[in-house]
Amino acid sequence: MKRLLDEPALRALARGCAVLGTGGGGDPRIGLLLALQSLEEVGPTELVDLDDLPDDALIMPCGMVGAPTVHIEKIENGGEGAVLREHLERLTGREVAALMPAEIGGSNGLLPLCWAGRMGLPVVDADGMGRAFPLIPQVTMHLAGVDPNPGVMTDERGNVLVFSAVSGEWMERLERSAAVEFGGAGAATEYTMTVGQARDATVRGTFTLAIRIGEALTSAVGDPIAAVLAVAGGYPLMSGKVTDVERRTTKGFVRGSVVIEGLGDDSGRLLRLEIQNENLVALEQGTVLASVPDLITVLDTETADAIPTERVRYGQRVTVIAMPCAPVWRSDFGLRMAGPRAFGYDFDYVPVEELAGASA
Amino acid sequence: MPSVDAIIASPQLAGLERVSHGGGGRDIRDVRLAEQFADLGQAPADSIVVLGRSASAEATDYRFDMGLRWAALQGVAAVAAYSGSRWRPTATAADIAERSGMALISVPGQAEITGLIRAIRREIGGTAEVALARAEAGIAAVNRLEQQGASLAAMCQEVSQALGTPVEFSPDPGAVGAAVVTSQVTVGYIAAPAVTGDLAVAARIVLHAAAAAAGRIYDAERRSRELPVRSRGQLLAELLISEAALGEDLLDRARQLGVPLTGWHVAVRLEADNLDDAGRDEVHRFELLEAAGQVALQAATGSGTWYLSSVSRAIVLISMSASDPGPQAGARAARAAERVLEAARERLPRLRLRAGVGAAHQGPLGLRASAAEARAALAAARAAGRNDPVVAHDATGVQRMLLEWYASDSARSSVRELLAPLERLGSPRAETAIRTLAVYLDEQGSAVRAAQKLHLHRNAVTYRLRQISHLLEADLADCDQRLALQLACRARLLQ
Repeated sequence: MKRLLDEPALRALARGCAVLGTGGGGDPRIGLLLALQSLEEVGPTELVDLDDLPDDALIMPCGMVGAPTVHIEKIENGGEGAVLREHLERLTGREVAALMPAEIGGSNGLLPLCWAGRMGLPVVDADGMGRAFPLIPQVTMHLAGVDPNPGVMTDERGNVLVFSAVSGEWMERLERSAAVEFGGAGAATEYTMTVGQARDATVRGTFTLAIRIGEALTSAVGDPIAAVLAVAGGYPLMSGKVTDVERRTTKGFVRGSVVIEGLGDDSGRLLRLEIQNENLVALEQGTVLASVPDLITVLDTETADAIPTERVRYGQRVTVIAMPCAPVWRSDFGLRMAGPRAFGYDFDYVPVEELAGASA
Repeated sequence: MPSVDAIIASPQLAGLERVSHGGGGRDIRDVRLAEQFADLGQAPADSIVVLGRSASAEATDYRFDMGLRWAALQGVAAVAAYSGSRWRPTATAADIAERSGMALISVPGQAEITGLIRAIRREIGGTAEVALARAEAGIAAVNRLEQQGASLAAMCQEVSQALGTPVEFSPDPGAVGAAVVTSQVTVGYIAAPAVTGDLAVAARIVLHAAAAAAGRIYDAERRSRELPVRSRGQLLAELLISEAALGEDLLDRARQLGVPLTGWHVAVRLEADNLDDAGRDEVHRFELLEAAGQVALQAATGSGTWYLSSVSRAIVLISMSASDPGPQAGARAARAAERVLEAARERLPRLRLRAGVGAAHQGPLGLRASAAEARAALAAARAAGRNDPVVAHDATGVQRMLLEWYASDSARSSVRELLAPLERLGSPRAETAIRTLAVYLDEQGSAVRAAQKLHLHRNAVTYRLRQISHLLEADLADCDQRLALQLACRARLLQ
């Protein structure tokens, strides 16, 4: 099913990407501004389903690598996507048929469609995570065994790097250090694949999901959060007030803890949120209520807009929700790459549906 | 079983503080060390779990919350963590503790962990362990105080503190008390009147040690008091016993000990008639004489400066004065001797002591002379079969004078004539009458003193004298008649 992403869709998409970003992935507002400008300059980008493309068509997964907050000052030139595509085509000897966000969460859900629009290419309704994750190999393509090579990176100055890495982990190390050299962030593509490969190697329909979440927020009659949960199939964990925010470094991880004191029906309860770049674990009385790879998002209780981790403050009225992740993350390999232990948490993953069922 | 608050109130766990609202009343049965949070879930119910230092440093971690929850499920009563300043648990940890009634305890950063665990163990261990710990503290205090030579009051106070119960010096041992013995005499008891149970057993042990230490302290004090006395007595004994010329060394020592050898001396020699019977063996006899010497010195002191010395089987008391004590010195010494004998009769009734009194002489050689006179007086009395308890050396030569006078026939016939009415009473009444008269006249007409001397009632003496003066047709108020009768009685009794 094809669809042209007009302004309302873009706005809804931005709100939805924030929710799916689980507190990370960068503020989609910047991505939205870029997308709106692209809309104005070249018209709407086309959103297509994988089934709308031939099996051998080439998909270019892409996005920003580095610190999303750098985006505010280090503005792109808009042509990075074209640079990536040009080099990819040269390296593969193939034509790129469509772009795909490596991650739908945060501003990286919007950037590829800006690049695609400017090249007259569509974006496919899929991504490599179904949420946001910090590391390059934390993508479903990696789980599916897709070769990460070639990796191509470029910045707003026009520098181009081509990587041939021996593994996804090495791709991460090399691209990460390049991003640092670029000044904090750069545009990149890895895990190039055909549509045929993509069918089993991506999380499908995430654009649509994000847009629907955004639309639910915008047009909700009554409680917007309930509307979101209905669309996303999630669970409310707690509604309350932030009473403690603490950040510390343990074993090389920058970690934070947020304590939320329940209000209203949740009064008397205390929720503890463990965060890094994303919200990763929610605990109550020492018991896990939800954990990565499931999605945990902090929403503003009034507006239901997602609050990025770096913006959580004492006194905010928030509602924490949890949504099940794409099933592929629950496999052994998936949990090894992106389960609690991959983030340094010392317990085993239990799906949120089970945990929610236990506490319900 | 002690509660959390009771345990951390112990003085050995000073610095521990409960930082949770509740949990203070939870009973504690056991203590555990947790080096990692996972250990919290392994601890038994009603235990206090102490987090090791590295785990304590991570107590803000979500894993502590999880560990705490497992601990709560296990029924753990309290969790203690090290903290530089007072531990402030996170809100979520405090919440978990509160909901399960667990106590959270802050441990001061410098507390040594094995000591801490042991101290908690002791407190949990119940009364016997506590009592044993207190006994240990009490004995340590006793040893320390004995080394310092502390007073009995200080001993009681510190032992009381260590045991945690009042301890006092008392004439009565009570249920828990130990006797303080010094020179084989019990002077009192160190007692703990309020103690019961296991602590009473501990107290008994400590009080025994304390009483023994106190006795030793007393003895040491007495010895140091007596030492000069003993060394003086030693010096005098050397002086008396040796017949050699007096060396400079002896005089020097006398000076150092403050013995005024250059002054005037009167010696009183005490001997026991029945020493062989009174003592069961030589050691015992020695002890008896020692005791008698102490008693004698105590009794004599008060009338001048007296020194005590022991020579073989006899006690010699020497009265020393800087200047010539005058003609009454001997008499005064005799009276002192009488007091001594009275005191000795009271304290050591089994010993029959007699005293010989020498005349006053000057200097170290004079001391020897006086002692020799005292000895001679006793020997002479024994030889004469006299039973007087106190015999004086005939310094004035009265005996000699009497003997010389009585040697003449005229003197003898005067005496016979004077006393004839009493002689006619026949023996033994004659002896009794003459003796009564003699004593009465010697005591200058005091019926009371005569009665004492004769061991009679005053009335008996008065009665006898009425008879005697009636028989003699003598006026005892007349001093010439009195003198004549006194001489006559003396001469008569010489026989």
